[in-house]
Amino acid sequence: MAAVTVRDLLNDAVLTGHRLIGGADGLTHVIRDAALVSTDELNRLPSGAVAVMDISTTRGLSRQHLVEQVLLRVHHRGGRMLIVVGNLEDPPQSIIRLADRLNLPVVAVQGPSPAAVAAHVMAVAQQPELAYARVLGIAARKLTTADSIDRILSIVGGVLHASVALVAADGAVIAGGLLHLRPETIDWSSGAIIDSVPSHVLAALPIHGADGQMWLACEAAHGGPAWQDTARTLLQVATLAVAAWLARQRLAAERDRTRLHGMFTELLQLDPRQGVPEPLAAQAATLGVALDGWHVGLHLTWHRDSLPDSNGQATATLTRALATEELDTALITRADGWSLWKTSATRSTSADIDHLVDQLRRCICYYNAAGHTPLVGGVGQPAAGPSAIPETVHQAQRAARAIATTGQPGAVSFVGDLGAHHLLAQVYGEPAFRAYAQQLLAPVLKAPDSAALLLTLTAYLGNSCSPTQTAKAICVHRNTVAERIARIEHLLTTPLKKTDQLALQLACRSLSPATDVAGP
Amino acid sequence: MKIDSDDVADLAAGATLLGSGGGGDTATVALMLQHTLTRLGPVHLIEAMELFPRAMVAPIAATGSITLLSERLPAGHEFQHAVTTLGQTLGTPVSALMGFEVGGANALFAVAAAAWTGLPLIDADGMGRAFPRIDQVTFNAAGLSATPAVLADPLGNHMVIAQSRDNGDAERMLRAAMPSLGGWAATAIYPMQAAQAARHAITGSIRGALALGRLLRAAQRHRSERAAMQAEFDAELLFSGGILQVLRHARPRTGGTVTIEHRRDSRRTLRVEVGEEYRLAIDDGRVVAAVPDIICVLDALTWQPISAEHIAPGREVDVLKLPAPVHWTLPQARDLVSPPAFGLTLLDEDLGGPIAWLR
Repeated sequence: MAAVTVRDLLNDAVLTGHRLIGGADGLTHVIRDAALVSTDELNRLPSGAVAVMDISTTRGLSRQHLVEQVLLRVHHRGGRMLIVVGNLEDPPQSIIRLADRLNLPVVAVQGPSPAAVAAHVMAVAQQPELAYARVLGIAARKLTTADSIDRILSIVGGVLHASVALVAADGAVIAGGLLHLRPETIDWSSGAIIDSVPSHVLAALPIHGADGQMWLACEAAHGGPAWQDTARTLLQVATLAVAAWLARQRLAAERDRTRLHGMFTELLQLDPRQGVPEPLAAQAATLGVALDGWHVGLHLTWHRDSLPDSNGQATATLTRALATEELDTALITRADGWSLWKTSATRSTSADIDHLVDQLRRCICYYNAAGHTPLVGGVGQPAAGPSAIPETVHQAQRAARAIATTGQPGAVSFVGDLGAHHLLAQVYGEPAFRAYAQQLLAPVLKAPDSAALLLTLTAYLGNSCSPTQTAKAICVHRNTVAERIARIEHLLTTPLKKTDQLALQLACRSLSPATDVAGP
Repeated sequence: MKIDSDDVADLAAGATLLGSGGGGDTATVALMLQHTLTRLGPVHLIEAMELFPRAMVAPIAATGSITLLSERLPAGHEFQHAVTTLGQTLGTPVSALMGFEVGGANALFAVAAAAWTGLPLIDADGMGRAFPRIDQVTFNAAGLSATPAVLADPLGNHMVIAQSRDNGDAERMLRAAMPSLGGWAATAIYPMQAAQAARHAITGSIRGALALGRLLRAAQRHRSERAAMQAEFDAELLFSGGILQVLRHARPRTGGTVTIEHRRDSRRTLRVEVGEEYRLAIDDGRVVAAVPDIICVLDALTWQPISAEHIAPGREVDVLKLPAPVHWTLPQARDLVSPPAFGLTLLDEDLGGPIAWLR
């Protein structure tokens, strides 16, 4: 067991509500003993001890000046800290400066009995193993029966006098909270973390079975080596309790997801002319899903041809992201992503839809920033009643697929805003059409500068065959556009005016990377 | 010896320094005294031994709030009434006046009262400095009674405290009477015979204040004179630095705590405990001066004494210690004016034991 320092004592329950008056540079002093001192018994203070001074019974108008006198004497006798019990009021600068000058921490505390403080500090200083083993034993017993994360965090926080949080590797706080630290600023990639700076101390351990993606972290304003030892031991026990809780949560989530899938499948097969079957309504109620009211479908899918994430954290990250935007409704895992719907009592206005699009965009931004395969999103039209849910979700899915092909990662599209080319994009995204497009544009694709020609042709057709607009769109000179179009016409052996421009435009889009050169 | 209007400035300067930050503002009273001496002529300063041993002597003072006194100026007759009434109460006319408190405005009032009553002034007082209570005088330590004491206000009201169980009770009765007397009163108190005055008063204190004031004023004019003044009055320079913080006690307590940062070592501080006067000086945890030592805070540049009432952060100051009058070092007197009498507990070793080892 590490030696007990002043910082360890400051974290002790016996000094709850203390004020550190001065002498902060002496917080690393190792303490070996404690004694209750009075004005005429200072000679009995052992070296290396904490002096506990009771000013609550001091007669007279002023007590503070005695603190300075005792402070100097404690220093001369090799004392390591002065605890002042009683009302010290506003300490003047003279006490603060003297404590700083002597590097002797002075702490004021009100409430506890001075004798009890001295006895407790003596026990901790003389036999730290015994003192800490006792609290660890009590905590371990409580953790074995803790059935919720809040209870686990409460037990750990109570023993360590620290704020405790369950933190994801991306810095998101899953439960509890830390004191001052911002979890996103901490590098969670290493093993156990013990970090001690003057303003706080942090101890964290990864949760077993969470692939290093989840940590149990505690932060205290004070805590020296002994506290850190205790924290490390207690966190080892507590992470097991958290892992067990996590397993129970996963089991419950899996059960809910299966039920949700079943319910959604039934919804898809629902006959609008018939009402909602009673078992389906009951199941929805059990899962906390609203079937009545106005629904707006949302769908999230992977950008273009990206492969889905292989790690199992994607859904968890997305759930957290949706929760941050208060979109934490039932999330249904689909073959091409995730679907959900938002329900309200009245029909969503266009402003509501815009807000929803913004919310979904922020969620995706949060998700994509976590390093997962980037997503795009779609939003369906508002629709009323249980039977309308599949339709609005389907619209959202269509909008998401369209934007996945033509948009950037993180883009969100409302189905009502989809242009004709977005809808057609589904057509030219088909393999058969791509083969046709390659055949149609084969002479251009064989040219040495095929990429530039294809870009120019796409932009030219998308800008109503205007060389000026095309030049602006692809940032080249107008004469360059004219020269490239002339070459394309030469390669295709026909003027563009005489070709099927729609087929040519779709062929270009099918073969081009997504760009915004197509014009308004 | 005679005190005339030319001596007033020196007496006021000396009395202010002996006030140890308290004793009231002397500026207004000095102007009044100068006018009085110019109009009525000088005051005879005598020794108590020069009087017939059984001649009646009355220490004289203004008690109450000196601040209120500046707003409600004395006319002179209240001091005459106090002395006359005391003589009538005793059945023996008062032969001479004597100083009660040489620190602060009361040194000047004693001279003014002598001029107004036409009585000689004995060169002595009961405190040798300023203290806030009327029982903190050497007369009390000697067992003399404060009563009968006469209080007179500027409106012509008199009040006689005929008898009290002890002088502490006389103090309490006097304070209780102050609101009805308008906040301050001319007070003739501790009547005694000339022989008792010679034995129990701090003799030479008026002359001492004059000499101290003369040297202080020279030191204020010429920095080179400061050492001479310190040597002459055994004044020790305790600390030089800037006032870092002034913490005032919440009412009804008076005073507070002053922290002074050392001029050359910014980590070193002097703590001065303040009541009505400066009472305790602690240099980095070591008590370097305590009542009845006379602790003086002076502006570092001008060497003008700074009162406890007007001390403020930011000023550069020198802190001096003048030795306590020897009367207060006697065992029977010490308890009246030592730190515990002001509610200031000290460690045993600081109450007279050697403390040099702490450095």
